[in-house]
Formats: sequence, C-alpha cells, structure tokens
Amino acid sequence: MSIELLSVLFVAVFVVILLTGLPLAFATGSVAVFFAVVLFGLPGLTLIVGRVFTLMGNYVLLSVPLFIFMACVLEQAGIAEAIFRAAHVWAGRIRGGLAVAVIISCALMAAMVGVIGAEIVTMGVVALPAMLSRGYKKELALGCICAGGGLATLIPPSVVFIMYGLTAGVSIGQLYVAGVVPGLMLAAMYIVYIVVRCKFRPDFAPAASEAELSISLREKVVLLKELILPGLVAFSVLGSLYLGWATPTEAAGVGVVGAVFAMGWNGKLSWAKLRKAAQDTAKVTVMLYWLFFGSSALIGVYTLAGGTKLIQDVLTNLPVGPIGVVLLIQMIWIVLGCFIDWIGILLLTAPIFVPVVVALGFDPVWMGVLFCMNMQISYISPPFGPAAFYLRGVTPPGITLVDIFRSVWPYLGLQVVALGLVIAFPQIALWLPSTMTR
Amino acid sequence: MAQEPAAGGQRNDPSAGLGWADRFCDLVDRANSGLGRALALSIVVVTLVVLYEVISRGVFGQATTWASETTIYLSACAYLLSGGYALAHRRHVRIDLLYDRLAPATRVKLDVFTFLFFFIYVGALVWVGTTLAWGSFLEAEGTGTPWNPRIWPVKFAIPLAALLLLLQGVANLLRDAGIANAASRAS
Repeated sequence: MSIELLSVLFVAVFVVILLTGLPLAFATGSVAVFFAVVLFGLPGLTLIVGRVFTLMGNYVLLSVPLFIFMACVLEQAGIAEAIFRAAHVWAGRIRGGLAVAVIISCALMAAMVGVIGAEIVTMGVVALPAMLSRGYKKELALGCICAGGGLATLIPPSVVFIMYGLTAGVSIGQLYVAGVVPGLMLAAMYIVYIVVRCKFRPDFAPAASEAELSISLREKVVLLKELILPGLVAFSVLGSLYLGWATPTEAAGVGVVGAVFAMGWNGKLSWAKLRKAAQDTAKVTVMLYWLFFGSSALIGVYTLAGGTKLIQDVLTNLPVGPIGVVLLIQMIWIVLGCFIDWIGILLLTAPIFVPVVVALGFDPVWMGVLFCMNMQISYISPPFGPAAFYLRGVTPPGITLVDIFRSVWPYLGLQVVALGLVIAFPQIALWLPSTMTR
Repeated sequence: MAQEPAAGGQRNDPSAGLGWADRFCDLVDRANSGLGRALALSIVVVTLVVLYEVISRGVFGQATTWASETTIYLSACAYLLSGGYALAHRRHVRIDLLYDRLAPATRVKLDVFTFLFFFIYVGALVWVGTTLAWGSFLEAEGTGTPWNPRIWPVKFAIPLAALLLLLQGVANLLRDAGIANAASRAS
C-alpha cells in the first residue's frame, strides 16, 4: 500500500471514530493499535506499550500535575475573588471599569493558572452579576470574560506550553518567558478596545457610581494587601525559571507550596480543601496523560509507516515560501480549533509541523507562541469554543449561548490581529527569552 | 432492555435486589472511585518530595539519588491507574458535535461500535503490557541510573490500568444500554 493511500485511510478511520463520540484518548490509541497490527503485525503493539512507558518516565511531564495542583489550590483559596475586588476598586473610576477589571484580573490570574476554565467560571460568578446589575451591555460583559479567560494559556505557567515543549522538544523556560510579552500585549489590546468602545458608545457601560468614585486611597491600598502573597508566588515561579535557577518541575513544586501558604494567609487552609484540589487535579491530569499516551502511539505508528515524512516533504516543497508554510499551518490550526480541543491539535500536529518550520529556519519557541495565540481563537470561536461553554454553565437564565458567541467577535478580531503581529514581528515573542541567562 | 428486579420498587433501594449488571457496575464504580480518590493524594507526596529535593540541593548542595525517579514514577503510575476514575466521571475529552444530536437508541448502537475500538486499545495494553512487564520482572530490569531501582512494578501498572479502564468501559456501556441502572455511584 502506498503511503499516500495509507495517510488517507489513517485520517478517514480516525475522523469516523472521533465523530462516533469515543473519547479522543482512546480514539487515537485504537487507531494506533489497528494500523500497527495491519502494517507491522502483532510485534507492532510493542511500540505502543513502549511509547506509554517512555512517557511515564518523563521528568518534565511531572510539572503538569504540579502546575494544575497549584492552580486548584489557589482556586480553593479564593484568590480570584480577591484579585477581582482589588482590580475593581483600582479600575472602577473609568467608564467600563468593571470590564477592564475583568481583563486585569484574568491577566493576573493567568500568571498563576495554566489552564482555562476556573477563572472564567469565577469571573462569571463574581464579575458578571456585578456588571449586569450596573447596566453593562451583555456584549461587553460576556465577551471580556471569555477573552480574558483564554490568557491563562499564553501567560506562564501555561500547561499548553509544557505540552508543546514536550512534544516539540523545546525548553519550557524559554517558552514561558516568550509568552509573557504577547500575553500582556493581548491583554492591553483588550483593555484599549473596552475603553475606546465605551467612550464612543456610552450606552455600553454606565459611568462609575458615586460609591465607586469615592473609595479612599487607604481602602485601595488595604485591598492590595491580599494580592501580595499570590503575586509573590507567581513572580517566584516565573522568576526562578527566567534566571535558570529551577527546572519547571521544581518551580511548580515550590509554586504549590506558595499557593498553600496563600491559602493559609487567607484563613482558608483545610485538609478538605486540599483534598478537593488534589482530586480536581487528578481528573484533569488523568485526561491529559491518557491523551498523551494515545496520540503518542498514533504519531509513533504513523511516523514508522513513513507518513510524517510524507507530510513534511509536501509542506517543505510547497511553492509558497517559508512564511507561506507558517501561514498555512496557522490556518490549519484555526480550522481544527473550531472542532478539536487544543490538546488534540497539539499532540497530533506539532510532531509533524514543528520539524518542518525548524527545517525552514524558524524558531520553534516562536512557533509555540503562535500555537498558543492561535488557540486563544479556538477557545472562544463558535460553535464549540470551550470558554463560552464554561461561562454558560454559570450565567443567569436570561443569557444564551448565542448571546455569548455574539459577544466574542470583537475579541476574535483582536486575537487575529495579535497573531498577525507576532508572525510579522517575531521579536515580540523572542526578545525577552533572548535576554535570559543560560 | 432494562432487567426489572423481581419486586417493583426495589430499584430505588441500593442495598437490596440489584441485578447482576447493577452489582457489577456498582462494584466497578466504587473500586475505580476509591482508587482514584486515594491516588489523587499522590500529588501531595510528590510536592513534598520535590520540595525536599529543592532544599537538599539548593541549601545543602547535596542532590538526592532517589527523589526525581520516585516522583516521576509515583505520579505517572497514579495518573495512569486513575484512567478508570476519570472514565467513571466521563472526564475524557470527546468530540460530541454529532453524538449529542442523535436519538438515544442510535447512540447505544454507536456505543457498542466504539466499544470495539476502545477494546482493541485497552486489550492490547493489557496483553502486551503484561508480556513486557513479566519479561522485565524475570530479568530484574533496572532503570540504569545510579540509584537503579527495579522497574517492573511501573511496567505492571500499564496492564493493570488498562484492565481498570476496560472494566469501567463495560460498566458505562451497560448503563448506557439500559442493562444496568443508569444512575452512577461514582463519587
């Protein structure tokens, strides 16, 4: 059988099984088993078990549950609420101040949390009712929560970057540091958009109330106190990676300890809360691990069959020039992002695409940042954007999924612009890592 | 169709009159839930060991030989073996764009079809995993590091985890097909 025909078969079988609703982790694994036996006979199965075992021994993979645990502990500690309260009193004076506070809170939370979900839910519970009761338009209130929530995967410690680093063989520390500037740039773009929009359309957000205007500086400073410890946690994690003091796994472990301290500081430390955090961590991590096993097996079998090389040859020889290939990959990611979770896209496409762009002379760290920015789009884009579904889970009855998806368009536009900027000016991502001590 | 218990009304009482399918699903749910909740705590141990390693290396300049391998394999085994726990809670990501729009009867047919694929994967892991782990046990294979612990317990975790997944997959299928009581007791 020719490898071209085989590739079509691979994709066809995989898509059919995916559409039947089998979890991605088992769909990848079963297609791998199926083709391993067809192509290499029963000895081919050794490859699949071997892949699982190899991944089990990976030291960097250990940082995934640790970073997720850190986020879950901070969530149980009520950090998000505290951050939002503080951001609100500081941004409350400007028109649209609550929406600006949401973006600021999300960016700060993103510096401690590596997966989307928790902060969207928290903002939906805390910030959304506050905005709606003050007469903010739905478009503004819903959109800023969805868009802000996505920042968690671009601003370190992002789990997406860990998985990308593992798949592409790139330093996690470099990826983290590279994500900082694009993440802050995106947050700044959201804020500018909100402020400008509210200036030209005053009906979008009412002016700040008397109470919000008259908060004393003293009160504002007192609220900041709650942010010191979580801020320190976030800063020490990123700082130790930037300075090359710790491996991501060690930084994550220290981050967990810091998060537990923050919990104690807020008077919320209890064994029940820690156990809840550990169980939430397990549910997410188990899902990620099994997905990793399945996709790794699938990619392993496909590579051994010669398929990966085929796609790489085709991509490298496209008559569109190196940057054309990068743009094509972005488009493939955007389309896939409408249907599949980031983790599936990453694990299945990065092992094939990243070597291509490296061969074309591009920096794999830059590509990782592009991937993360691209996934920002997939989080909020209809019809399956997970951010919208997280938010829908906690919105009041009057708000539909359609309302949420209608609210995200301006942010989608900004995300595409930001992606374009980082493609055009790779220094936005690569400047900060270039200053790292190695 | 659902197996009706001998006397009406007993279905609401979890302690009596369960059919074989209910009892099987119940047992699998409890086993996987209990194991999953217990193994989830491994992250606390991992955190403490990582912290110990950071302090002993950073403060006392003395790296341990055992810390990194212990944490890596403890965590890997814990999350591998919790696959059934996540499946009991239906936490594995799937593409539901078509599936959720189908009639319940069609879904059951699809479930049986996808179960075959699920089975060849976890079945392969059980079978080949056991073979490889047994070989590793016989030759007392080590990890090749200075500490060099025996690796077979980690290798046996692969078939065991796959077996737990398989049992949970059967339990979920029995529930979805209406053969067992639909209410899951996973916690």
